[in-house]
This record gives sequence, structure tokens and C-alpha cells, in this order.
Amino acid sequence: MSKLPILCPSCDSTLSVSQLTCTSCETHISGNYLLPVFLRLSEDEQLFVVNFTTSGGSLKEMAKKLGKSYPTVRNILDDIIEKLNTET
Amino acid sequence: MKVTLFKPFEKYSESQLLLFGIIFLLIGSYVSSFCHANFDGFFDLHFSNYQLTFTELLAQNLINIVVLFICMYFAGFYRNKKTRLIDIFNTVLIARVPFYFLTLFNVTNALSVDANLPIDEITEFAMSNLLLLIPMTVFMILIVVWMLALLYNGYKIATNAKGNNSIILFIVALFAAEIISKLIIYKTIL
Repeated sequence: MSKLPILCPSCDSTLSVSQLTCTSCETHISGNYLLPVFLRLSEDEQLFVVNFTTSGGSLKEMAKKLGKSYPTVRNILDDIIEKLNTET
Repeated sequence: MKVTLFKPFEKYSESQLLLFGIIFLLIGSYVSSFCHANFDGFFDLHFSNYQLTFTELLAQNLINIVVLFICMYFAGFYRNKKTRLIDIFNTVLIARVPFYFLTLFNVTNALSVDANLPIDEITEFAMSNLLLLIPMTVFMILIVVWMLALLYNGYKIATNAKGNNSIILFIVALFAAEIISKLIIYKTIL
């Protein structure tokens, strides 16, 4: 599946959803919908959030899984939190 | 390799770093006692005719480590309240490791000089040891750069430091630690 673009390649602004399609009956819905906050994160950040959740929210587990130190993993999480706070 | 040498704090756990740092602190202090070394400040290394004991060198190293740890912790905590003591302590402990290698230059005691000698005799001594002093100076600069890189990378990871303010705080902490550690060492050990 193609990578979901979240930023405009022309001006770097956040993109919004203008069309949704039902894959079963081909119904198209047009409008202007904001991308959910989670989807506004980069692919690596999304993967980090998924791994963090499946690790039960344990940074120590995450550090082991990623082969990185605890403060490195905590910094990644802090940066994501900061990004989410500015997005919302 | 680059990560291990310059950013070990990114990869290794706090217990691994602590163990490695303590082992090198003990070995470094022990070896330095045979090399007539004198660590009278975090960034100071002198060779003199006076030989300090292992305990005195260990005390000097501990003062240098603890003082910089306190200064850097306050700088880091001011920047980020989530800064952990162990991460800053490991940063200071590991950043000192390159310094211990420098003492090996004086393993034959060829570089020890009496600081009370007249300046012309010290100059004569320096000229006669030029072949050893030039490579040592180059090596020393590289070691100091390596040490600073380790300190900054560790501080950056421990505090999630970003921007100029963090760099300024880091530099202030280094200067403060150098002055305080020098004062303590001269008041207590030397």
C-alpha cells in the first residue's frame, strides 16, 4: 500500500482528507476532513506509538525492543508528546 | 563503532555504563599513580616529580566527577525536569575515560617536571623533549575533543537538550565545575 502523505509537497502545510471511498460498493464521499492526530505523525513516530502501546506503555520494554537506552527512548516519546500537543 | 565511542549513552543501559565507568575510574586512578599524574581539575592533568598515591588520585577523580555531576545536573534539571541523576552521573563518569589514557604518556616518568624550577630550565626541558611533546599535544587535543563530545552527547540525551540555551547552560556548568573542583582539590588534597 502507498505511504499516506501528510504534508503538502508544494508548501509543507498539513493535508486534509477530501475524498473517502467504500471499497465494497464504490461509494465516494467528498468533503473536507482533518487528518486524525495520530496520522499527522511521521511513519516512524506512528510505529513507535504502536510499539509503545503493545509494550504496555513500558519505556524499559521499548528500550530493550529497540536496542536503545532508556533516556533515548524517553526523548523520542517526549518529542512525540510535544508534537501532539502542538497539533491539537 | 561511532555510537560506542561518541554516543554510548544512546545505546547502552545505565547499569552497563555505570559498571564500565567505575571499572575505568579504578584502573585509571591506579595506573595514574605510576605515571606521576595529578588531576587538579576536571580538565587538568599535570605531571610532576611528586607522586600521588592511588587513594589521593582516586579522591581527585571523585571530586572532579562529583562536582561536574552536580553542576551538570542543575543545568540539565533547569532545562528538563525529567532529567535523571543516573544519566548525568554516567555521562560524567564515562567522559573521563579518555583522560586516563593520557597518563600513559608519562609511564616512563620522562615528562615529570618540577614546577618550582626557573622558567629557562623548564623551557630547556621542553625543548629537549620536543619529539615527545608534539605528538602528545596533538593526542591531548584529540582526547579533549573526544571528552567534550562525550560530555555534550551524554548531556543532550539525558536532558533532551535542544537550542542555544541548553548549550549555554552546558558551557556554564563546565566552567563552574572546573573552578569549584580546582578549589576543593587545592584546599583538601594538595
